[in-house]
Amino acid sequence: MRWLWWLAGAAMACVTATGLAASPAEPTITAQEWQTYRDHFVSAEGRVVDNGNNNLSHSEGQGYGLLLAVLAQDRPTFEAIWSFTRTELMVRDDGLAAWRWEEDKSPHVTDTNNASDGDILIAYALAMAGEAWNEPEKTDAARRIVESLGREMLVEVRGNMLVLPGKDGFSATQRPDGPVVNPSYWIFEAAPVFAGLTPQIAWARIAEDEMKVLALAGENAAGLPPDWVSLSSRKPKPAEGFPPEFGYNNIRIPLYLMRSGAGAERLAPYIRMVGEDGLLRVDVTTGEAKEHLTEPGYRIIGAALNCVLTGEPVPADLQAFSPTSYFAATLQLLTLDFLRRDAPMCLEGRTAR
Amino acid sequence: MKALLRLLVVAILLGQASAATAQAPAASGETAAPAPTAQPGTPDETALRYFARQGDTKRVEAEIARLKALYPNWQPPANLLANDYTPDPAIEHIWELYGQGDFAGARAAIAAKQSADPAFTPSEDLLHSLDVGEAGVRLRNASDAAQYETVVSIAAQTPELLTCASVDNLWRVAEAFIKTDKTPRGLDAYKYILTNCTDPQIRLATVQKAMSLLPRADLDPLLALERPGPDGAGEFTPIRLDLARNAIAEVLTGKVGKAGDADVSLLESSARQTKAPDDLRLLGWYALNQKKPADGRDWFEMATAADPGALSAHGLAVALLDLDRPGEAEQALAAYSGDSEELTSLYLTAAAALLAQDPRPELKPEVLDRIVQETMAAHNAKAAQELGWYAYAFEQPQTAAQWFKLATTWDPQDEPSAYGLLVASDALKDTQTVREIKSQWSAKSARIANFGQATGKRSEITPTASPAEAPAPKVAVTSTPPPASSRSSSRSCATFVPPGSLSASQALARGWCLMDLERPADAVANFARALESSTGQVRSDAAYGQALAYIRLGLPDYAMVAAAAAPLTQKRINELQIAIHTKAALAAYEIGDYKNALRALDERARYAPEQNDLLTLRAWSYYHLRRYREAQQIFAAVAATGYQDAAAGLDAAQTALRIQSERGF
Repeated sequence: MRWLWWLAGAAMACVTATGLAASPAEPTITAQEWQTYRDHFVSAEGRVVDNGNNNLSHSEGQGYGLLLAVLAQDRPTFEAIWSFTRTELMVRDDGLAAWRWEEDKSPHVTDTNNASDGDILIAYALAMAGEAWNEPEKTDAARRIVESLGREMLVEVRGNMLVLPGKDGFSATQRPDGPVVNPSYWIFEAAPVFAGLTPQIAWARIAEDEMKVLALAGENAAGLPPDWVSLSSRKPKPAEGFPPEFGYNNIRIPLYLMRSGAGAERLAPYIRMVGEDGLLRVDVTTGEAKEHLTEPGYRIIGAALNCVLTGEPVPADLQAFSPTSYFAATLQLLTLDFLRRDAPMCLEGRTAR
Repeated sequence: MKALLRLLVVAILLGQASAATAQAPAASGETAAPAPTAQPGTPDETALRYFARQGDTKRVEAEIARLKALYPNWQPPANLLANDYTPDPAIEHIWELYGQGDFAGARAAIAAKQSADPAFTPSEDLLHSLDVGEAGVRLRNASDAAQYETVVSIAAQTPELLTCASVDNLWRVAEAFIKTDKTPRGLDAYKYILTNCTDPQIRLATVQKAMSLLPRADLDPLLALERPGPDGAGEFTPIRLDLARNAIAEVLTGKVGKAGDADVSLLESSARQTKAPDDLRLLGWYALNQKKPADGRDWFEMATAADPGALSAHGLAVALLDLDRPGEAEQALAAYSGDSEELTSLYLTAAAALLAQDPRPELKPEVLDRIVQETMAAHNAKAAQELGWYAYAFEQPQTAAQWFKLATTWDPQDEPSAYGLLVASDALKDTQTVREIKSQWSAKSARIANFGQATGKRSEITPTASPAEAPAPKVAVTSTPPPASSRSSSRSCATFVPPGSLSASQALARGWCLMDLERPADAVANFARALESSTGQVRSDAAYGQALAYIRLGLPDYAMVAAAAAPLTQKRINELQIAIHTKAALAAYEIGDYKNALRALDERARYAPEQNDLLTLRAWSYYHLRRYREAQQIFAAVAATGYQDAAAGLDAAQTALRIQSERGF
């Protein structure tokens, strides 16, 4: 057994009341990595472009862009992305962000529904920026979003308080198999930050309840939760209208768990998603792999998980940032940020043995 | 004054504008825009001087206006190009980005400059300008996304956006109020524009915007703010016309029943003057809608004069059809019948109505020709059917049969076409086709099922020859045969000759000849002339012939009267009684008067027993009177003789009886 000291929760110590530790002297995403990311995925007007999805933009991408800009300590880019996010997406009456934006459509917002992971990422990044750069206006903007999330997006299911994936279309009244949740929209590392912004909302309890439901949702043939989970009955099941799979959404869960400092018992089930040559997209009704996701940005999540659980270092080729798709590139930078911040020994060859 | 206007904007946003608008006009004068919040400190002249050096006078003026609005006491420098001012190129660049609407770029540039120079603080003016610029983008996006509370909230926080120069923002705010059930506040926003903004196009567009969102009644307070235009007429005259058009269009779309008289007469007088084809046609359709086809025709004739074409012809044709002038309608549409499916259909409707006129009109060859061509092109069964009846009426049963045949090919479910084919085929003695149609249609059509019974009666009333040897048209075999000449050619009586010009005997012969040609109406007139004969036998024959002609015309009552016009042999009386009651039974049956059908059959039974065809008719009458048991008995008896037509009836009666018993009747 390796690194018991780490599994014991040492990482938790890194998480302060505002989430990540106060800005380190050196950014955990290098200037070169960030420049490459910007060149590929961030337009001059502050729009994060999903090149794997018809070059559309969404609140999630804007949130990731803001978060990565904070981690890269790039205020100018943060300002540009925030300006675009605020003026183009944050138009909803409830203060949340419209989730989808398309350049060749008029109006550009083509779906005014929100996506709670986008809102959470935006608020989380704003809170970190407010603290890192001492800008109370950004902290205030974060607080307003978090208040809206608390007011609009929470649902109680059998005693568990959860964040719904979107305002429209997921509740028990809006679909027969509702409420439907997407566990990869639960970004656990934001919970302590949100609790600091809005103490009146029980974000710590919400995160705990979400962890419970997450574990329940993984009780199936695959041992992994489906991307979209119906909670209409006591036993969670794949939601109607979505493929019953652990897929592109949920491969983020172990990354979020690691980033939030979750212990081995929570991380261990996700080793099932790690294949020889990449992450597995898995049919949760049969446990069969449907696809191998081989982009470095996906593989590094598996490598990081493996390292945290077994001490096996992350291969050097995965540590080099050469972006492919927006999604994989984003996850690679977030994983590198995690490893450099909380598990640097995973990046240092086999010295940890 | 500016302070008052600003108060007004705030008042609108807070929903307290009614009092403020009342005062505003007196105070506003020429002023077009409310003033934004006055800023403390000194203005940032970077952008102004930068634009001046670029020689961009338009932007220089806009910038001076903006700074003056922000700093009322500020005066622009006398010499914008003076060297007493050392610009910072980085700040100039930020203003440049701002000027291009690249607010994200400007924000990024400020942050970059701050990173490079921690002592740098952007001017209040710059930050405020960016806030307002971004708020404007956000307001438009929220409005596009129908997030109206956001629109109102941005406007309330950023009244600088609500100026005559950015009137689009005011329009969007008004819309946001109206869409959130705060119409009075939306109206206040429009009133604010009409009270304070002077640009005539903006004023006109404002009322147009209001029109698209508000009911007519809500517009009156806005129209009341009308000012005279350069030509002395009210500036909203075009709007009032639009409103009149809308009012009429609402009638045409069925939303209301009638437009206001003022609206109608306003548009009428305008249309008479301008001859605008759309208006003329709109008024035409409105007249048709109001059941004034003559007015409609007049409007569409004016429209045709102003704008000849399918649109005008369409309305004109509808008006003419409403006026029962299908010939003119056909003519009006002739040139456009292929323009659209709708026009083709309308043209063929007009053509069918024209062909069906009574008396049948003699159409010019070119008219008939184009009707035929259009019918063929469109495969239109109704028009083909009318062409069939038209040919039939003009003694061309062969042609008629061909048209009916086409009609049934194009629309196999069309009973009238099948009936036409039956009639024409019968006239052509095409027994094969008659049998086919009867077997195909008898279950669905009573008149087809019963067709031929009259024919059968004719054989019954062929007194002197044996019925088997005397097929239907030989009705005229009487004790006094018509002259050989008139019998030798079926065409010998085809041309019209006034019966009064004939001798009684000639008229009698001609009457029989016309009966052969299936022209009983003309025959009636000739038999009437023959009745004037001094010879008893001729008169008796004439009465007999006329009675038969009336029976053929389906007028048994007249036949009774005719039969009494001269003494007849008992045999002929019997024959006529049988024919008359047969006809009466058929006529009653055809209009669904089954009781009288049975009564006529009972009368007839006094003179002759019923054969299978009339027994079937009797059974169907019972059936329709829900006397299923009796119907079943007769159908069963008739069917037992091998008479096909009864089989369907037996089925129907048995089904009805079963349903009755299942329902426990």
